[in-house]
Amino acid sequence: MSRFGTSLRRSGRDRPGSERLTFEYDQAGVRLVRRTPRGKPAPPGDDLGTPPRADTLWAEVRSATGETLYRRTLRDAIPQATEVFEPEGRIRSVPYAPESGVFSVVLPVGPEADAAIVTAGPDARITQPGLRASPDEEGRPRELVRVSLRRG
Amino acid sequence: MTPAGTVIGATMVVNHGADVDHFVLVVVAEGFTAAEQAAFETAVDDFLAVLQATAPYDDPGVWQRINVYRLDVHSTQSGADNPLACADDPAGYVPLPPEVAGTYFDAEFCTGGIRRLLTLGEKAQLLLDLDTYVPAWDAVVVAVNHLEYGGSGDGANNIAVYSLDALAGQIAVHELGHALDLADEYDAGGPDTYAGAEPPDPNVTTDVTAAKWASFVTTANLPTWSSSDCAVSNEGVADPEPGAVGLYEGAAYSRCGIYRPMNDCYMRHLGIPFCVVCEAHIRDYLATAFPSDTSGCFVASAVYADPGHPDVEVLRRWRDRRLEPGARGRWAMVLVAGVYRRLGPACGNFTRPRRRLAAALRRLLFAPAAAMLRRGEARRRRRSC
Repeated sequence: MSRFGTSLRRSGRDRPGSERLTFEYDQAGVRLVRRTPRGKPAPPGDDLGTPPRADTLWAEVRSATGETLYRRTLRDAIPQATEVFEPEGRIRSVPYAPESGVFSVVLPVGPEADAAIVTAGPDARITQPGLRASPDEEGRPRELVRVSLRRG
Repeated sequence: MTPAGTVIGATMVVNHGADVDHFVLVVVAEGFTAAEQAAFETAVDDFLAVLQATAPYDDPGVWQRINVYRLDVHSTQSGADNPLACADDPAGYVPLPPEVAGTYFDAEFCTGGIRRLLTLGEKAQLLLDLDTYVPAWDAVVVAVNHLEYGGSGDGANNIAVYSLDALAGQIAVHELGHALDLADEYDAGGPDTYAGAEPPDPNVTTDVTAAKWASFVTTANLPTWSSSDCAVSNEGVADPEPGAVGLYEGAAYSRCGIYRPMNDCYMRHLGIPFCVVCEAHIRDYLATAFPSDTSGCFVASAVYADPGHPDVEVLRRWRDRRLEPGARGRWAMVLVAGVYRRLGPACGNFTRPRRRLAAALRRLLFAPAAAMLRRGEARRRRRSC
């Protein structure tokens, strides 16, 4: 459980607030579009005792000392596939990788929060031009975007 | 580009309390003109009826953790883009009209040459409008005013898109499962054999001991069903142990090397009940992430207005002891707990505004009961010493 998540049994009013960070991506990279305060806590974070999966993207909140305070795996932030539904109930996944798009992530913004970072794991599959790992980046996590959460 | 329409505003249609304590779902209009506002409101009611008919959302204790808003958007034209020809159409297929419509979020069928793939061209606009009108939103369902069957999901933004075909609302129920961290359980679209690490999702596993859902397993036969040919889908294979919770091979887009808890589930097939593991996860997720003080617990929320009150704690301990496997009178407590879960929210809604009634119940009934239970606990502690 994330450090912010350890107190999830408390009422939402007692937990740190959160912001929705909206990003857009295209061939030029990933950029922050907007920060929106939500007036409510972030969803439960991933277990910080377990390293993030190498084949995923994840968002983290870090303190000023670089400590990870919260982490959440991002599902399809830069999509490679999409679901197709049939009237008889069957579902299948088909390749679908738009070259530009938008995704959002909700992160807790407690007083210790210093930066939000979106990272692609070393095995994360990203096929979009401009976002693919270069040969010298392969095999290690890649920071896609970093946003300061400091106020003022 | 100028949007083909206008956002009118957001209206709360299911209000269980402050958004800070609730999962906030927004149903958004797309392709409805101003003259079709009533049709959109009917579509919202229809979708909520589908959702509330699906366990565990049919449980008032679960439903009470959800608030629902309706985002009214009037498009310039009615419908969505539904091209006359699409690459995957069977021979002679005739799509439903209209073929083209100028709509606010630019919904279109046939995305990527797939007729059923209904997506939004103006998703960035949708996110902006949501942040503007309902900043506390957690998940979004976009109702597209077109009768062709179609829909899509956007896991990054917890957005489901569905058309007004009678069955398409099921797409949104499935996608809501993703918003609550459930994985897909179907076996098409990935490598034949899953080669990744153990997924974090609660309803798929590579672990052949089924440790992730051990408390639900009802069969000693693990794996319960194994694939004999990883190149062939196990769609429609007969369940060797109907209703069992175990390990069924094939999930998360692969046919081998990864397992699901039951033979079928809403995360595998639309319109099928959620398997017990998914259902329990939805309950847990909403209860943990939104531990509302207006939850279904009548005693905690309405009588004491404090889930952490010592009397509430002692009553909770008594209930949990009685529910332990092998506890004396467990069957009766299971029955009582079931009735309480059903009736608690309604009793709470009645009692909460009546402070004198709550005080009387506290003084005359629950406080003496808690005191008696506390004395019993003290006696047990002395005996165990």
